Amino acid sequence: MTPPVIEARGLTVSFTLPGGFLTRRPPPTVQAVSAVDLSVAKGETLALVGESGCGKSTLGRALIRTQSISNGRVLFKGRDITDLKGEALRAARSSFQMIFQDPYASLNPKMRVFDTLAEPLRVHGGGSRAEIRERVDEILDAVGLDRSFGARYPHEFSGGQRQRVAIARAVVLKPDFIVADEPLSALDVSLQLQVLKLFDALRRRFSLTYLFVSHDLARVFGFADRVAVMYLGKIVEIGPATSLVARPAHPYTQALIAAAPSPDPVLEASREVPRLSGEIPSPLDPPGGCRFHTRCPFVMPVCRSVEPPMLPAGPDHRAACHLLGSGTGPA
Amino acid sequence: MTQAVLDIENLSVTFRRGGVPVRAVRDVSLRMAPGEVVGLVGESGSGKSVAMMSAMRLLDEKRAEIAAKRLDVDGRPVGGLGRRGLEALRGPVVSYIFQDPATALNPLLTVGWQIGEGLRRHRGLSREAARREAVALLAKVGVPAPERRVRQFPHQLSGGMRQRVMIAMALSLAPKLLIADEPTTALDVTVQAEIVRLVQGIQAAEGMAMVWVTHDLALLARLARRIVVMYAGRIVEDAPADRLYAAPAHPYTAGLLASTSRLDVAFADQKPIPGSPPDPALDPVSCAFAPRCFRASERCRAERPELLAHGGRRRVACFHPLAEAEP
Amino acid sequence: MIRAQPFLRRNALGLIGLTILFVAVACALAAPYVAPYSPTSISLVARMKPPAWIEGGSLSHLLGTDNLGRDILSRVVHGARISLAVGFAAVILGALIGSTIGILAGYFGGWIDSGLSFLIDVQLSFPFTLLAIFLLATFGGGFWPVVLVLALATWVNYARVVRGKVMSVKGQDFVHAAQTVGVPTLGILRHHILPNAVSPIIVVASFSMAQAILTEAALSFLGVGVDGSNPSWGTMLNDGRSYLQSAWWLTAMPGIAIALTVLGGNLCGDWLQDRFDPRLAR
Repeated sequence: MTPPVIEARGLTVSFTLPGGFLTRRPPPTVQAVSAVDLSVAKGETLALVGESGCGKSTLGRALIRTQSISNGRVLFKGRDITDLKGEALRAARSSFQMIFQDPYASLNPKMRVFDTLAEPLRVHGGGSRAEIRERVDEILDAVGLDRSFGARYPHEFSGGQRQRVAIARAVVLKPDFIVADEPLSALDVSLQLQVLKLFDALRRRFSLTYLFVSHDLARVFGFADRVAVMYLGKIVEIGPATSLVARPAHPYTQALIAAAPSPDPVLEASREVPRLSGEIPSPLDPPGGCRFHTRCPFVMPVCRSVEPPMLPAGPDHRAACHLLGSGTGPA
Repeated sequence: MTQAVLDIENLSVTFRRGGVPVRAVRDVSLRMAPGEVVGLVGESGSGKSVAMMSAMRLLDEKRAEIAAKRLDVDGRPVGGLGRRGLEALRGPVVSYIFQDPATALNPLLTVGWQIGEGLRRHRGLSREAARREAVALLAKVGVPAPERRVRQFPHQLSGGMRQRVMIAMALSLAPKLLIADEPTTALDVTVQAEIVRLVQGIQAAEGMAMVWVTHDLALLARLARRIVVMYAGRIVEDAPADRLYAAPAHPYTAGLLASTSRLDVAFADQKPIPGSPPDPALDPVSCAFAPRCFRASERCRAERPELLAHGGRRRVACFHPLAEAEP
Repeated sequence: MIRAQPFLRRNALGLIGLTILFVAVACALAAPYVAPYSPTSISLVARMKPPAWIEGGSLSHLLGTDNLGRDILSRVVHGARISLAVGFAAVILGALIGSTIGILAGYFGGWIDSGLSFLIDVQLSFPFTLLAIFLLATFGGGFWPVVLVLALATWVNYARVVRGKVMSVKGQDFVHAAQTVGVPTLGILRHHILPNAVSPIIVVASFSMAQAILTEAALSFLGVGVDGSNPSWGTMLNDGRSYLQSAWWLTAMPGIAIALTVLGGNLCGDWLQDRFDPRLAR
């Protein structure tokens, strides 16, 4: 069996915050990502879903080694890349790409689109001038931009077109693994679906592997093969998209699904949302036991003291919730 | 006929960008009855926020040229208002909730002070009375421990809590019209759902008119009785919400509806609107949506459809509407 | 009602600044053709002539003559050569040193930044004019020493501004994207950081130009400037010092030249700053 393209074992990322002025207390540390196990198979799209501050972007960056790792391992095609440094790290990174949230910040305003797309090719010895031009033209076609756009600067484009350029830059080297960090959230609803369809077309055309970070479960549900839901640095549920949405096992996943509005006034009027109590706790001081217990509508005494392990919730579908162990799943 | 709470006729707003005039709002007419809840939908650059801001005179008028046959809020023309007139308008008559609560609150003042400011100025409440009122308002918008929160500063609150504070501020003087400009865009999904329900409850209880500006039709399904869709500075459809969701008449509305994220439609069946929004500096004589429209004909490319009544309760600007006119 | 502000009104002050600098540079370049006399030709019969519009002046010496009968106009025009050459050379050298240090400190951060920032703070807290006088008096004046000293005086301005700009550009996603693609550090600095940090360099340069001309004049006035037979505005001030009571024009004319050029540089600086400020753009 071929190893997964990317695999995380017990991956932990901590940040040390600046300490207090004139105090002897050690500076506080935040575990943005806490002992996460995850793997993405070749050609697969894994959506990583959660609310702001849950650590989903940090996890994405740690997987491609643009974020320093405090503990645990990252394996690329079975090879441990956790401790790579310098030239070896740079070489490994050329197999990865990243697409950012804000298409206004992710393109160099002083660089023509052609040079933005040619740069990765030049850096990795992409051949003669003519060959580079040909590949840039090919990728512009693939993302649905006119070839003449290469001569233009980013400020001449709309948000959706810029995001197409950013996607083209990420795909031009045909990388093994692409982390897309909330690439839709800066776009209007009408453009989100358009850009998502582009991701889908490129995946088929170049057999790409995505980790697709998003806060909007409903948006990525049909597009992703599998979905992982994160809460306060932990993956609380992971499984095939259809199974996870049809039979969400974790109360947090259920809340996310219930919160997604539907363009149907009749349905909306009749629907009641299970209200999550309180706010997301500070990651500086995460709750003991199950991290979700402070907001969970089904909280039990055991949740306050014991952290739930990942338990099976269906074929290839697991969730970290004590309700699964007790045999009485939430309704 | 009852006094309209918002009455806009032939509103146009033009900005100057470099030397080029950009018409952000083009010939928009909109009448709202008291207590009516309108969802104003469009892509960024469609002019939806600009239209609403001009009704409150919030635009920088050195850069924006506002022209309208009528621009009345609660029966008073806002065009000629001076500083005094605007102060009397903003707060007691119409208030505005901005998209980003992080920048719309003053970081150096406590939230209680900021909520109470309007009450002290307009109602002449004492500091203490304004503070008590602020506590009551915070409780109303679902902020836990309001007695403690009034003494806190904006940075001590989460994004969702800050937006609740903004809502409390906007409600403090019981306005007749509340304009909410994408108030949940910066928030998480679960918080967004809570804010929508909160505002819906308050509106039902207090009965003020409301405009909720957004680019997401799905969000409005629960909130709005009437939906107004804008494209390239113009209103292209105006219809009762139940009719619009069930059978959109303008192809753009249909495209927006099909673009919303949903769990009940297979990805392969979700059809996006092709193409990009038009350059706002262009002012075509044709239908602005024609280049992206699957129903566009020669006529659409040569002539602009006016916003006309389509049956009894709907207005549509399209030569080839998708839905039949209903009485 | 809004109207597109006419180009001239929007840019009036900047255009005035540019015009002043242009005239100064033109004079400097074409000095032998513009100046009616050689700046060094002595005429003992025509000593201490006042400017033409004053009783006793004549049209043959528009701005009068000095104590050796040298034509003031010719000396001011030729003086522009030295003053502007010193100004430009100091700006270029200062910009090179300062921008390099600013980019290094801003991009690499850490101890490099701490070290360079310390250097900047030391430089800023030093009574610079005293140091300059000391250096020039000890090691001798002349064109290059003065340029060097002026560059040492102005590099901090570039370093501080560029460091801040680079730190903000560095945090933007297009830089992360380039790093993810594997672009080497030098390529990132050249193609991504530098082009986006140029605008503040240009702004600081036009302010520094004014500062350098002023300082050069001060140093020459104190007798430690660019010496030699060719006049600079500063040496003219120095020469005229003893005649302030009897022949004010010896000092007033180069003084006006200095003031105008400095004003031109500062107007340009203000204008460029507004042009490059994204909040004021459009």
